[in-house]
Amino acid sequence: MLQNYVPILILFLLAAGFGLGMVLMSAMLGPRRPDSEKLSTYECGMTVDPGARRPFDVKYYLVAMVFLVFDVEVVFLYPWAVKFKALGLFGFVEMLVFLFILLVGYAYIWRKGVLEWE
Amino acid sequence: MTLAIFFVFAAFAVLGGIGVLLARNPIHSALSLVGTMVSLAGIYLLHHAEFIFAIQLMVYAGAIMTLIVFVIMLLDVRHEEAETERLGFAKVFGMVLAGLMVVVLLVPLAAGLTGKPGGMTEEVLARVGSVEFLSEKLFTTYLLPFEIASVLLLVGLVGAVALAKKRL
Repeated sequence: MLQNYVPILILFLLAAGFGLGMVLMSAMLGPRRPDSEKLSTYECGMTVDPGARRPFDVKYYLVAMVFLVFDVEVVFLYPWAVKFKALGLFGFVEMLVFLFILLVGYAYIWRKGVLEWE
Repeated sequence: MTLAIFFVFAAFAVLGGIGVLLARNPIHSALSLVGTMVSLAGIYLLHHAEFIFAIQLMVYAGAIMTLIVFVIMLLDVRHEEAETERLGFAKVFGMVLAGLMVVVLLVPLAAGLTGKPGGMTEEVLARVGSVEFLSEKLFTTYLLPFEIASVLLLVGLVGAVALAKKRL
């Protein structure tokens, strides 16, 4: 069974090796004559507004949290779908209960205007 | 061969954990944590838990780490403040807990205790299939925890809205 994953492992190693190799090669082979202009952050030739690390708006956190909750919901749907026939009506009803509880959450965030970008 | 791969993943998991602690830049800590999550996913796969492997990658290494990065950006923590060398209560307490953890880990090793294999062996999983096995257990034996999980998700959702929304 695990043999099926050998291609993925090879792909993973190739990708990691490629990334690592590029960084190492440019570090070893590239000429390095730094000056203050070269070391400054480059952004379309404009003078960079100091620092990208300003506090992000909390709205992004809210979107991420909403995504995470419904992501986990979908994760639970997958094993249920695989055994859908074997689980029968009982399985169907229990998944409906699960979905209904999260639907309450969905209605809540809709009502509270979380889905709107203000 | 499997054992060798296990040790590679285990080493990367531990290195990632050390990286989380030692990195000065919180974003580097988060990146190290991604490494640990991915290594753990590999270990799950070695234990034939294919479904958990995929979920670990998608939910933990993907979604939850994104959330953690958002929180780091939200808090605007730049670099760790200069370390105070003072031995505070938290540090002593942490050291005691870490020491206890080492004892707990070493005692069974020294006493030669070994694990007891459960019902979910490789052969069973190969026959039934990882997802099918999980599905059977989750929707019959562990039905209540499954339904409660939805309530937990609901609480998380409402909590996030209550915290982050300016006007409720």
